[in-house]
Amino acid sequence: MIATAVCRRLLVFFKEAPRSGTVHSVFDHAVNLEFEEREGLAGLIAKPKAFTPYAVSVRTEIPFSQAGVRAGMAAVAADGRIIISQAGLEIDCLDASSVDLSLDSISISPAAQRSAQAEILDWVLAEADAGESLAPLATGAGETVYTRFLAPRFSALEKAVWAEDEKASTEAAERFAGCGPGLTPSSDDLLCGFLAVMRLLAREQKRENLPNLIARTAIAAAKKTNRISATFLLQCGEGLVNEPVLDLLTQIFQNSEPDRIRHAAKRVLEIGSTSGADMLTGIALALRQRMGGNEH
Amino acid sequence: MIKLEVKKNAYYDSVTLMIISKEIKKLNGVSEALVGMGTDLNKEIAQNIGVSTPELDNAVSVNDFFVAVSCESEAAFQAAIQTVEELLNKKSAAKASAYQPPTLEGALKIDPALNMAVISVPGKHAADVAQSCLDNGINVMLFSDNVTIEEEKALKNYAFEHELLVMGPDCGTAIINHVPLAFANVVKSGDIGIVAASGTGTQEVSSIIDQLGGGVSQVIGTGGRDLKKEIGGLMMKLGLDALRNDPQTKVIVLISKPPAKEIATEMLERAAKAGKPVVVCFIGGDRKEVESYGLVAAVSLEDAAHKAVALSRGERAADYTGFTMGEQQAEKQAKSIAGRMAKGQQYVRGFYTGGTLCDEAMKLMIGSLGHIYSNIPLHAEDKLPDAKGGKSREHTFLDFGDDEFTVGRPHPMIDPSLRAERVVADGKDPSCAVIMADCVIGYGSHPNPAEDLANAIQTAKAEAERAGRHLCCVCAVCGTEGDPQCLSRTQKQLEEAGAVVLPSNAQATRFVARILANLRQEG
Repeated sequence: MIATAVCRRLLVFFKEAPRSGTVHSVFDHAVNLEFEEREGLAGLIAKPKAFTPYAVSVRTEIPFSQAGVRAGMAAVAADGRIIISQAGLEIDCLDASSVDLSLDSISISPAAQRSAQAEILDWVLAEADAGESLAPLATGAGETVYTRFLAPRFSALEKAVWAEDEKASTEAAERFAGCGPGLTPSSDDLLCGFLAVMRLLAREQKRENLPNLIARTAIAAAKKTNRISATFLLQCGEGLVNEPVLDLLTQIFQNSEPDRIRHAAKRVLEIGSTSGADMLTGIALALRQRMGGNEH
Repeated sequence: MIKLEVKKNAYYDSVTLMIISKEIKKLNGVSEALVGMGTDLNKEIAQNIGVSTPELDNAVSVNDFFVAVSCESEAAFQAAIQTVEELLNKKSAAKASAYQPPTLEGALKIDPALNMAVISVPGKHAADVAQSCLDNGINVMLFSDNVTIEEEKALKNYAFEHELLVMGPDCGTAIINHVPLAFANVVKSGDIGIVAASGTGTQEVSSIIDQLGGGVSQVIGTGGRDLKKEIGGLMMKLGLDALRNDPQTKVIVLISKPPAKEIATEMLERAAKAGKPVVVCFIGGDRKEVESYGLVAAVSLEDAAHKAVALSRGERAADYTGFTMGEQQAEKQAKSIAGRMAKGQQYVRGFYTGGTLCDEAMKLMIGSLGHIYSNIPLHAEDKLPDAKGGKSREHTFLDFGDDEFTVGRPHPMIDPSLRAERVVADGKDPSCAVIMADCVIGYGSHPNPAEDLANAIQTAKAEAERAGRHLCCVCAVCGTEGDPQCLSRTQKQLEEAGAVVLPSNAQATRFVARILANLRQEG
């Protein structure tokens, strides 16, 4: 198989030393790999799945689940290749492009009406069939067992983060993470979107302590959820997000035209079953900068 | 009653989990259900909606998948669990039909009688896997490349002693007991057996046999290095013997580049004792030597197919060097094309996805041209430096399947986009008169390899037209009507893009030679 893109951070990790690991889990368009030296998982991603941090994007016609890859198989990363020999799989990363999924790569234009940008996202969420997602927390339309349960917990988290109260933030994150249906529980996805925006707002508003608090909040949340979802939270804590979210946040923080923001938001919406809608919800909520107050 | 189903350390994609959640709630006798990963908060939600159990609270972890159901009866719960299993198995059922055992042991457990393995693993592991197969009495088609010649020799020595086939390494084409393996075409069954050290050469011969109404019994690949001194043609010999002993095979065809002298002699002596007609196509080789053994020499891949079909019908095997459209028509058309070209247009560019087809075209054309520059040149001095990144020089032929072009990319028969880019680029060269290209269809190839090529031809021709030149594009499609891409449909696609499509690589080459000859006369 041919790798078309590799996350820059993963490339650095692989270049430091040859790595041995195992296959953690296998899906049609993604394989998760665990390496001893890393807490989070690394991924092999094939279209149509979005490119994620610490992942290698692979061009393949065959779903991974049909290519003989099974959880527990040994995986080796060395000399620019990832090899799962039991499955006869060798992925050549040497010619793959290195992709920076870091929020730090976004250059921020002078502050705009962030709440107006949040409204664009609200419309995208309202127009979509966001199923059992947490979108009502942003749009105010409808209510589910989950949103009812999570709304006050989110307010507490929001308030603590804005107040830069680390103890309250990490406790609130622990009380918020791991809730909802899906492989990555909805509250985790929302948290990823929220913390990513908070990191950019911290830079915009020159709040120097906030990035560290965000990282610790993400670590606290990661302890309360499953390994795959925790991986995304830890990446978010490091300031890394998946490609569609990075694109959306770039459009937002560079004050792009509403149509471009809308288009980028729709790409995020397409992630997973409700994951995209949940991330969008978190992004919209952070952009509103309610600081724990509730407009709805 | 509240019931719980748990799957430990089980990860299912979110879409599947959502569908399960929705479907369970629709079931009769189910009043509430919660599906998710066993996180603390999901357990809390379960408590809130009244589907929690002590087991959920105590024995389910964040990495476990659970289904908690509030239902009227045990039967309703069983119905819910059955629904969960059905929905989970719906995906795995689709997978099971295409199940590929990850190990040889696994494959043997499924079918202990298997006797043929296609091996496509990274080169450094391939020899070990092949040896394991041979140890289990399994014939091998070794699709992998990057197997050392020492490993190849060891494998083939062992296989030869045990009368097992090692087709490869780097073997792309075989049809065994009418089952096409890797890159192969849908060819009728018949009485012509082929042993070949060439992938696209085999495809060209077998496809033309099919087009002529003939059919094949077996197509045995040997790998391109089999006839080198180091290997000694072990698999060509074994294949030849197999076809000699095969009652279904009436005529044998051998295809290869000209082997080393001593290997050729050995092979021809063996073929002469086959007791059946043998057509030998040593592409560009010594015809007289072949005929001195009483064997039938072919002057091209197409000629090999014509002769094999004639012999299988009990007819005389005459040379085929003509045109399906007729000599006069070919000359008329070539002259007309040459007449439309601008001053300065004089060179041919051959852009191939099939290495053997590229080699054959150069060999058929070199006599009238003197030099053909290439990444696989006929003469060392005609080697084109930096074939991939650099520009073409005068008459240039490129094999896009050669290593230089395939590092980090699929083979051009799977991804022909790089070749298409080159067609457009060279079309802009005012000295370029003709662009030649093959289009190989069949199993393994791109689902529509003509699409990229046709678009590139259209673009290149239109740009040349705007610049006051007439660019001629000549193509030959290698394949059959039965192929998934369909021969006539592929030919039509290229014709509609403005290409002149000939029925074989040899005819396309001869046609281009005529255009160039007419250009020389006019110039």
